Amino acid sequence: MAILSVSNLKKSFGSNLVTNDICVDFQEGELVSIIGANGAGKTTFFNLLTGMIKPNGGTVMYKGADITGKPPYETLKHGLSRSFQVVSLFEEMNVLENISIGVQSALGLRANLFKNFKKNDEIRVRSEEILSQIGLFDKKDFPVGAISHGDRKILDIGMALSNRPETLLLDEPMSGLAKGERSRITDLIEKLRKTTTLIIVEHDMDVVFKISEKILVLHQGAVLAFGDPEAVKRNKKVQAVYLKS
Amino acid sequence: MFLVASLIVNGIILGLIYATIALGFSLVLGVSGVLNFAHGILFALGAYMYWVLKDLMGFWPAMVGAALIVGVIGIIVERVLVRRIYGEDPLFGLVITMGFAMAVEQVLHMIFGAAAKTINPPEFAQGVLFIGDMIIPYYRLFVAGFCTVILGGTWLALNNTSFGAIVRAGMYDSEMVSALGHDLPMLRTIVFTIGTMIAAISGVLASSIWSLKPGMGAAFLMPSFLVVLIGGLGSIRGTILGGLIIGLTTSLMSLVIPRFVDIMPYVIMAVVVYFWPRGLLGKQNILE
Amino acid sequence: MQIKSITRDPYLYIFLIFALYPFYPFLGKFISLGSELLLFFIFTLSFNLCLGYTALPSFGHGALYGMGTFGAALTFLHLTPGMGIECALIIGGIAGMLGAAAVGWVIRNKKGIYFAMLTVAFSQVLFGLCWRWDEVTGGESGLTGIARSSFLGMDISGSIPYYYLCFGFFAACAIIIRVIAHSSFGMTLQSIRQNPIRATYLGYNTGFYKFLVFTLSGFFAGLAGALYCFLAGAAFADIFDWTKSGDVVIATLLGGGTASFYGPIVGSLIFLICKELISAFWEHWLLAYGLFFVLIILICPRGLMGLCDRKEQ
Repeated sequence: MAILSVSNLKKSFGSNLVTNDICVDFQEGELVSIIGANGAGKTTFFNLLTGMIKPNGGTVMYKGADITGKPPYETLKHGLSRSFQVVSLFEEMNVLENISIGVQSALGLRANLFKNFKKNDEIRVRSEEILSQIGLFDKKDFPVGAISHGDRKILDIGMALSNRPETLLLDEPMSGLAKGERSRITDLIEKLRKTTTLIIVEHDMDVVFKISEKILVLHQGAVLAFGDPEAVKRNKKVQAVYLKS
Repeated sequence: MFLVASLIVNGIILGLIYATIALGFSLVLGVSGVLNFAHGILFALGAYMYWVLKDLMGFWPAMVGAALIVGVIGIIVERVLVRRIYGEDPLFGLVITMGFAMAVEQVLHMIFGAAAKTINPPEFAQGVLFIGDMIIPYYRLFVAGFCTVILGGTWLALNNTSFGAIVRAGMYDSEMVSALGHDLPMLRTIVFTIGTMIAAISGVLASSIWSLKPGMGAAFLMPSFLVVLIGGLGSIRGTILGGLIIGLTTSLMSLVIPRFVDIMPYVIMAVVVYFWPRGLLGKQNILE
Repeated sequence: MQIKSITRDPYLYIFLIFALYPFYPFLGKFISLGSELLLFFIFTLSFNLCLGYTALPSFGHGALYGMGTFGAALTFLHLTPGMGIECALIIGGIAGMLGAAAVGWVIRNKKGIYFAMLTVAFSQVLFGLCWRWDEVTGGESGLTGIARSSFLGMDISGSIPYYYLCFGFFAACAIIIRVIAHSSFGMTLQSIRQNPIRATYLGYNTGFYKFLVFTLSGFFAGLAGALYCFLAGAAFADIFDWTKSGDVVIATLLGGGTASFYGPIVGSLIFLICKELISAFWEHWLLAYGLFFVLIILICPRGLMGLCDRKEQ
């Protein structure tokens, strides 16, 4: 059974149809990449899956539970987490604290009035574990404004890991990164795919075709093709509208 | 029966006045995202300017004069004070305009005294109209007509002129206005000034219905708040609807529960906000 | 180590300064001003949980304070006449909390300006209600003749004992509010202030936590209001007026509440003393009061403490 199953998903802003009847199933443990030109509706698709915006129609099922239009803090509970194309951090905190906010939430301490945050070893230990996993442990006391863009991208993904999600949506994890830094992200993705279902929006075609098990091609808000990389490469429609350009 | 009818007529007239006062407040909030607590005092300034000018030059010139003087004050307020806090925490705009309003109210106190002043309606609108047992002063009809002209004129201007299109775009997304190459700071100044002048004209109109007091501005600020919350931002029809709802409630409720008349509009506001978060006819706007 | 951390604690100095207040030359004569300052400190600290920590622009906090005042006054006059004031104080705090909870639930998901507008509007409702419902609230003449008697068996009718009662409450509230600010919940609030969207994606139902902090803040504001009713010996409707909400906003901004935990206390101190002095000597003191608001925003919107430090570590 599919872990995440999307059927007839529709969304329009005014008269602009940005998501048109998307039907797709994601299998557990797969690594699926989503490609498509700018404005093809990739980020909107992520926003719809996680409940950031409500669809006009269709359903999103996660492990048999209907999560259509449920807000992000609910979809997270089901096991769905995401990172952001434009890094979204707590800019006045340091690296460790950024991760800790997510860990504290996972530990159910969100409304604890009397437990001191800084002296909480449980939060600290788990946060440091995640920092080691993503390779930012050395920089844990740096303000997030003082680390490199590559580190910030990685931290953004690390925050999405703090709730130990089963499924992780990565929104352009390599945007704005130099070639050298991209390998850090691909290494991290290789590490994550062992335990997590990954859905990745990415523009770097070399990486996409190298790492993906399946590729979803979106075009003008609709599914143009969905299948393994070789099939997508051979697909006439994809060649016509996308790959040749 | 005539009592109810006359309350309804009065409520509609009152509603049109409220809508006119709220119009400028709503435009400024929509385009600049500033909660203009000085709106009430600019309304009061209009009324006082009219009081000073009317014996010198008569009704119409005095109204124009008051609107121009207060309009200039509006430009100064926008350029010196309000401009600093665009895009800042909403409390900043609220605090700075409220401070300005309190200071000016005291200045009015010092110059004109605390005692209420009454102004007779202009000669062409004195007298009353009898319909059965119903008594309507001509002046109120005149005010209702004038407010309708202002509201309708603004509506037409917003929908049919290119400037109106820019203002509507500004309410939807102010970034877009600059992206399209229009001068956003200038647009904000112009809208603030227009809002101020409409407030001043409403002050002139209101001065012969209610009496002049330094505190009159603060008293009419809250209805503007409610009109915007009930009617919704970004829609002139919403402003008119909000005004009418408040006018009619205040008027009709005086029959049912006279003591709590001033609270009823707030109760309606609470219900509206709960079920229609953008207000009854509100559009998507820059505050969301 | 332990001693060092205590001597570095700003609270130690604030507490020391106010513990001896009644014995200061000159100032000691204005003992009720001292009590008022302490109550206002509780009020601003509670308000700063909303504004400084969560960026909730509440402009109706005066109403929560007022609910505390009237809650306590009505309890003392009708339920526990002639008895100690303990019960009245608790009910005052709960009144503020319930008021905040009711309003907070309706407006918890509203953004910036709408939130501010709605808090203003709701505080006006209470003002109107208090003014008109004179059987209960005394309307224009207010509720008078509230003669405080005892607290937990101690005689607090004198002004110095009452000052120390206020001091005790201030110290307790100040410590509790700081514990909350440094707790996991405090961190939740800061994350919502800094990046609400990310917080949502990390599992935080931001509207719910805004509701919680507003309610919590309402309790402390109500408690301060309740203590005030026994300080003044009366409760008047004008406590619901804007100026009360304006006071706390401006004191917090002046002290730099958005940037510093202790800022609001410093801001309140400067603001209230200026206000008392000017209003005692000048009939049109509201002119200065208004200009003060304008100048603060123009000159130092981040407040005095904001000039020297960021969010305290």
